[in-house]
Amino acid sequence: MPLNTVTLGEKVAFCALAVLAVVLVAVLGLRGYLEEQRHAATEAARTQHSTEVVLGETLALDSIEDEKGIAEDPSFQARFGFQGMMEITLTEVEVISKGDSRAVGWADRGYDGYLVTTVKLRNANASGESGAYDKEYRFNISGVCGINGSEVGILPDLAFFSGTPDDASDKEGYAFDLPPGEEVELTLAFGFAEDDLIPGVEIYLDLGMDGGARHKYRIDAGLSTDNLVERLSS
Amino acid sequence: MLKKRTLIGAALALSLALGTGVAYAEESPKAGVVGGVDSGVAPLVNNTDTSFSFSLASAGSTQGTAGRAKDTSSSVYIRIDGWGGKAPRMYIDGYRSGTGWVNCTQGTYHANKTGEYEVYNTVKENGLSMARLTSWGESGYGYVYGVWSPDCVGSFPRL
Repeated sequence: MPLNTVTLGEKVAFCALAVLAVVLVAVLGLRGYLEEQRHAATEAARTQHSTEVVLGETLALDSIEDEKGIAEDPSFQARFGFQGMMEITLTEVEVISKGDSRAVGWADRGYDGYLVTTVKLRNANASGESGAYDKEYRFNISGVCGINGSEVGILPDLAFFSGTPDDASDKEGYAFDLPPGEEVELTLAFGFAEDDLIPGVEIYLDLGMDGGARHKYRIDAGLSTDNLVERLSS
Repeated sequence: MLKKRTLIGAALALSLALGTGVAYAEESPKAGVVGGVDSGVAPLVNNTDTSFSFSLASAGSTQGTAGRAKDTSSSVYIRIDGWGGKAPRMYIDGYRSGTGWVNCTQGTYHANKTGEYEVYNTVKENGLSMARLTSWGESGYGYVYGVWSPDCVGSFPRL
């Protein structure tokens, strides 16, 4: 289209459109930058306020402290499924093969081996959240802890859990009873297939419910996915 | 001669190009879970409840559980123990090796009530054997927590 056929009004409209586009790009760019900055600040604060211990160290899980969140993000809560405080210690981590005699009867979804973790839990003064179970001191172990399966390629479904009460239903397979003042040692076995593992990833016991803030409290298990394969073949 | 609708069209195209059009995360995979299951020797049903807790800081943010084995073509079971803020949208994703997580939710669900419910999905129908529960902040800050299981035994209302 020859330029001389464009009217003055159209030229003005076109220029206005161009100005609008520039303003829009600037606004969007600034908004994106600020959002990125805010996100980075929140992530940094989350990391700063996260607590990590190692195998053998005891960590207090305090629902009141957790519910405070952090100044930068009040929603940063792990949630444990109880009110009060429990203490948790990861006491042992072991890798066994599918053929190990201890694994007889454990759930098998084509696993090559099992990551067997032993945790010691002490109930300081915790009671279950209302509506979860009929019993006040019955808890769900999946709310208290679980392996960082999303990152390493291990299914979070427990192949074996030693704490299930005799009167628990099928749905309550991850339940355990622990009255205040008492202590219990629990075994959790996570099945894994070598092909599914993501190489070189550190393995943690993440504490709290599965979801957005489970890494707020965690225990370094002292091994990586590479170690799982090594130990399985040794 | 330039027509008015040409200018309007140009404005719309510009707007879309700049991403100011409606962007919807329903079918986009969320932060990742990798894994796989050989269901050949799997138990018949995976209806053991595990806990979940999502807190969506703002509109557009997403959170999800790790993937769990799904053994049947049943609904996903969910028990919502608490929620607040702007009710998050809830989804069921299925995992396919190679392509990652895909949205297998059948219908639209908001976590705006407590209780036991079913969430319809097509994970097994799509030939997938892992599922995860995810949420999306549709209109701002919101949270939801409770328990869920990949397979549902019994009958509950649709969420």
